[in-house]
Amino acid sequence: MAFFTEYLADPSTQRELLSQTAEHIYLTAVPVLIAVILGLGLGITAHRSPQLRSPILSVVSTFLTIPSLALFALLIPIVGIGATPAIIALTLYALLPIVRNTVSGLFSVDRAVVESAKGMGMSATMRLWKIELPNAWPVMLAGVRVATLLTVGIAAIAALVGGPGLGQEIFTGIRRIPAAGSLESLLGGTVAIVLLAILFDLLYLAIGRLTIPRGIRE
Amino acid sequence: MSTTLTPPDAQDATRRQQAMDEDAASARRDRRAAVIRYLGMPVFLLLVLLGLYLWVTSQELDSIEARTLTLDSLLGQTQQHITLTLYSTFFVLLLAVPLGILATRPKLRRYAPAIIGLGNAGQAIPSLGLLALLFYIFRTQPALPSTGTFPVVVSLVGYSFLPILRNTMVGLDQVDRFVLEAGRGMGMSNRKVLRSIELPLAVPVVLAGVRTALVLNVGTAALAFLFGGGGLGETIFSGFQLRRTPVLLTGAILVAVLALLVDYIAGLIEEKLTPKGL
Amino acid sequence: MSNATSPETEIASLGEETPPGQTMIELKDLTKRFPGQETPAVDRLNLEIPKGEIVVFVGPSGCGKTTSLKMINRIIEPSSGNIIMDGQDVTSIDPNQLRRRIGYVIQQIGLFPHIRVGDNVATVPNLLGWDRERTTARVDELLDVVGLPPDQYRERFPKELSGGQRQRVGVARALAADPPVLLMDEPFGAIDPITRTRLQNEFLRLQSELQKTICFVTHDIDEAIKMGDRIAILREGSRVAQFATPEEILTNPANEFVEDFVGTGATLKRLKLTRVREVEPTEALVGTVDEDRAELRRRFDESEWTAMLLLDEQRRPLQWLRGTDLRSSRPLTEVGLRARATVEEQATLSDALEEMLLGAAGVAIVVDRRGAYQGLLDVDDIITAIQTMRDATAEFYRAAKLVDPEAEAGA
Ligand SMILES: Nc1ncnc2c1ncn2[C@@H]1O[C@H](COP(=O)(O)OP(=O)(O)OP(=O)(O)O)[C@@H](O)[C@H]1O
Ligand SMILES: [Mg+2]
Repeated sequence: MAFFTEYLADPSTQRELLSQTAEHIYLTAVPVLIAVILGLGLGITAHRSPQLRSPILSVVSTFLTIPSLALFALLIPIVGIGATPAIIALTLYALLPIVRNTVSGLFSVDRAVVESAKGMGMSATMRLWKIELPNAWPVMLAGVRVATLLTVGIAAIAALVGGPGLGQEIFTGIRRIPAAGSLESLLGGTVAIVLLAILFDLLYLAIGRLTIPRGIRE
Repeated sequence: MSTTLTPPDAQDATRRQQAMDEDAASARRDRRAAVIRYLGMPVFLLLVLLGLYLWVTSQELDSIEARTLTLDSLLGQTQQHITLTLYSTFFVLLLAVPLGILATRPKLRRYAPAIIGLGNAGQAIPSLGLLALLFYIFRTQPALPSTGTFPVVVSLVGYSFLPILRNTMVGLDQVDRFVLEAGRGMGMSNRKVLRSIELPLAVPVVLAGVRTALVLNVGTAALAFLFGGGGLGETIFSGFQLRRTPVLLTGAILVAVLALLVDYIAGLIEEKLTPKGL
Repeated sequence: MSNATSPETEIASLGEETPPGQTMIELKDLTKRFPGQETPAVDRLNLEIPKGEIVVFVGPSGCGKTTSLKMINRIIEPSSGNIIMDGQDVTSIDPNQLRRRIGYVIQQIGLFPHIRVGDNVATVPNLLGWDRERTTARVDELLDVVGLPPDQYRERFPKELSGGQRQRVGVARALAADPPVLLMDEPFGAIDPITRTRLQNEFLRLQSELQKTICFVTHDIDEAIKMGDRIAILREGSRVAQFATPEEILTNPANEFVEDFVGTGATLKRLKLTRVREVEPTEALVGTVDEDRAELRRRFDESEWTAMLLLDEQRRPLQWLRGTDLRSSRPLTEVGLRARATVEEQATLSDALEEMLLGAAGVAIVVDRRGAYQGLLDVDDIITAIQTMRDATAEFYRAAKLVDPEAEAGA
């Protein structure tokens, strides 16, 4: 392990890793945020409309079937090299878990609960915001969490086609295999991404604690 | 009493009419949906390939582009890509599915949550990093072969192993919970339960595993070029490095089409082989 | 939250037009045909529901009770037909406004799991835009009414309640905005028998104060008889087999279907419907402890009775005394037989019969609320009562048949 601590002790490594971590967080958070907004709308639509449900779900899962390197590359001629193609592609990837869990979360709300809300004269919009979404929230949040984990990992690949983030450190290592120093870079980038994933996970734990009403916890 | 009435809620008022139309419409929809489901994807992929061909041939390719985009090299890379995908899928299934079945047997049950937890945690490891680390081991251990398909396939298997194991176990676990007790309740022996209930019910779980593994591996095989394993990732990457859009797009589109095609075929197989009524 | 027009002015006056006993809800040819089904689930249902009464829809499973009920607040949109409420056709008004004025209780209760009990009860007041003080006061009042001390229960979540408590909250929630009409679909269906009986009794007590117009669905004829001022016995397609008071249905089932549905023991069920006070009690030979013993003996000897009922100073029954007891020298309170088998005036004839069979004397002593003697009931009185009721209803039906030979068929 000595070699690794040496690598980490180097100030230039530290500077590199820190700025790449910041880029990686940006590369994860922005697509997830966009995907939450889009996914909520798509999920609600898919829940409402039996006709649109399977088209929405199959299009969204088709995105996830396209290999990330290919999707990044496809976007480069359109939006140029850099963070933009990565952000667009990662948004498309993050959609599936969010849409799917929004749909299944909404379906998991007890029908008697929705019916009694209707029976008391709540309009469709009110039922959605006051009854259905709050009760679907734990499942939806789980979907956002999965989407985030997915995005953190795939974001590394953006580096292969000129994107920012911790993938750059891994890519540096790959190009030098089996030369000295390559293992350090591979480990440095990978471990940093895993730590980032764990941090995001803890964040979601905290968000769950804060936002899931006590009445529907567990 | 005053008769000031608000206009009827549009949704509720139109429902009567909708109810009547629904029957005929749903039958029509079903038929159209079936056609789209079976033919939509292949037709779409064909059109994409045709479009790509027409576009590339209409371009004036410079010498670098012309050299990269030969039919030979593209076919060769496609073949490499498919080989990598099939090998890694075969081996990962060979390892992960029996292990998954074993790990869900009553005697080993108590380890199941830990293994599934490990599988979940494995999601946090980036594919690029894991592949590179596995490949690094091959390159630096003199006892192991350092070039060719073998190290790449092992790396791909190493990457897809945990997800497939986890999916198999979760799938079997669900089957078990609902059905086992019913079987026991009818007085079947353990072996009879395994043979006549669990294994048939495990078929869809295994088939789903095949599909997942194929899709996962066809995607990661796009990274194989980084480790000397070839595949269509090579074209994408040279297109990017040489700043040649036709090359970049050709690679990207071929990879995407291949992945979608693999997923489509795996989906068909899954559907056809899944026992009816499950 | 609400539409531009104030929701409370829309149908807030629902029920103020109609005097008690007049038709509050009228169902006219109400029909529901679900898509893809050959026969309608509800086939031209016609029914008039009087104000302030509990009308019970009862019938075999799948006959369309729930569908009929849900068309009244348009959870299910009717395929055709009309719903007239308080003289107003509500078949095509804004259903959300309508529903805010109709309480709704279902078997699965459907409390909102993510908000507290108090907020659950406050749902409709909030929808109607009540101010906070009024709502809070109302919530506390209602929780009290349904027997859940507000301080203890207001802040709980639904999962922290028992099934019976949840159903009470469900009732409180339905009553929150004081709706004149209440729809209840098997409200006590998923609760254990003991709690169910308690909730039924509490609900009847509540209703005697509130006088709501209630449609109540059950598939349990006993519950129908207990809860209903009027019962609509429905058969497939929600066709009315009989619509009448429980008494009429028990003594004079309109047809074989009703007879089968009511089942055996109709007469015993009938006894549960008649109160002791409705029957003329027999006068017994009574004496009080403050009377002279010689005087008591004289009255006993002059009568044809074989025993005398001794009462205390407040005229509460003490002992049954025979001739030998009156002649003995021991204090009167220590001789004779303890007077048991007392029934209050509001007890049912069924209770009285049970007391008679348990007590040795073969009679039941009727007492008032304070326990003071009112008279005696014996088995003959009960049989006579049954006879009279049967004749009266039969008379009514004979008269009805002369006017309308179809009346018996009920459809
Ligand atoms: N949403 C629906 N779609 C299609 N058919 C329905 C629907 N709801 C009810 N039905 C059918 O309508 C008929 C009447 O159903 P309903 O629920 O009103 O019966 P019920 O009298 O309440 O029975 P139960 O005592 O079992 O609750 C049944 O045959 C039922 O299958
Ligand atoms: Mg019902």
